[in-house]
Amino acid sequence: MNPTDQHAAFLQLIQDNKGILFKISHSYCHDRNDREDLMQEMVYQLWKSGQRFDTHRKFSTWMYRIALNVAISFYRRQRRSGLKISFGGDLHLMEWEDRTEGDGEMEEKIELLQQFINQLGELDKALMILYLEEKSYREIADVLGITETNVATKLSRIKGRLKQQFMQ
Amino acid sequence: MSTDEFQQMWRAYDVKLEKSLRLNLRLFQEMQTQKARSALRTLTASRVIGIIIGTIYVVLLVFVFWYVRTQPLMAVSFGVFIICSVIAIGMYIRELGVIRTISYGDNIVDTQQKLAGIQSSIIRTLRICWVQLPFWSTFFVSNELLRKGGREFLAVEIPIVLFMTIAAVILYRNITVENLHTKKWITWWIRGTGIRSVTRAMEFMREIEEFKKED
Repeated sequence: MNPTDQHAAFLQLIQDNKGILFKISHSYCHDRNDREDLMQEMVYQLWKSGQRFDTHRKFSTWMYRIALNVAISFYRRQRRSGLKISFGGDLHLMEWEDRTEGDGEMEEKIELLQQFINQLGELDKALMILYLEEKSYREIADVLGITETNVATKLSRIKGRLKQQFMQ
Repeated sequence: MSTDEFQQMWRAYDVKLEKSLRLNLRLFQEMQTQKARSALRTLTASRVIGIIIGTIYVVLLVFVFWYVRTQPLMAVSFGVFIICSVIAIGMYIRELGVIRTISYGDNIVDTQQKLAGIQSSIIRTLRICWVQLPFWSTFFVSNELLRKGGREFLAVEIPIVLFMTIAAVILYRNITVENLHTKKWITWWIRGTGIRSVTRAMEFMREIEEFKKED
């Protein structure tokens, strides 16, 4: 594949997976500017690491690892001295096109779920996001670097707390 | 509420994002061409600067050592300074090697453990500095000073050297990554020096260890 096609293919992959990148940035950053910073950094690191992507491995697993590692490192840095690039004017990496109201009750539940995730520690957040993305225990263990048994135990505890929160 | 419902909510969230969120990837070109500093580059740069400054310092120490080589106490003091500095430079070089192995594409626990380990490594380098402590009270003691100072000089110098030696042993043995949470005076001291990022890195390493444990 020539570099131009590679570039286009990469950008398409990012566009196809923008939802997960946004959900990760929303889970790790409360501030809108920080979310934009983090999105920029995730996209940049995905591009940089793309050269080393082993095509025999699953793309989504690789992408989650990079995005979550970047998010955790970003979250833990006190000074946002990293990648923030201003594009001038009112240009942003993330743009919202359709702001029409959806199902009010569902939106409220999603907001509550997001609030719960935001309260978790950095590593538990990553675990919860992967579970909600319907990854198997095996994949979650592979991304996080812990055993499947450990994944099951921790998830069981987090889900218990989540159910309690929704019942309140 | 069943846990399947949480996954349904997350899917609904996805549908909403698919409809309404757009990434302005035309800006990606600008992101690539602008100079981008990442956490890894900052870590690398600080180690490279440390190695360069450390090497210049060692060269100066060697010159001084050569000049004072006939004065036993001074020569031993500068000898210790040189050895400790070379060890510290060696540790920085090893850390550079570790930084090169860090990849965001590796699993979360391994990557974050390496990053936090590098960030807290200043504690290991500081331990080497404590070894030099007693010799800061002897590096200026020439043969002539000993001869002219006599007993009065020794009456002051020996207690100071003893005090510095005891302090060095206590600091070397106690200020470690492992003791951060068991000895309050170490936590207090580290926070007092302003190395908060080191404290946070060490706390995160402990969280990672807890996370890896199977309950």
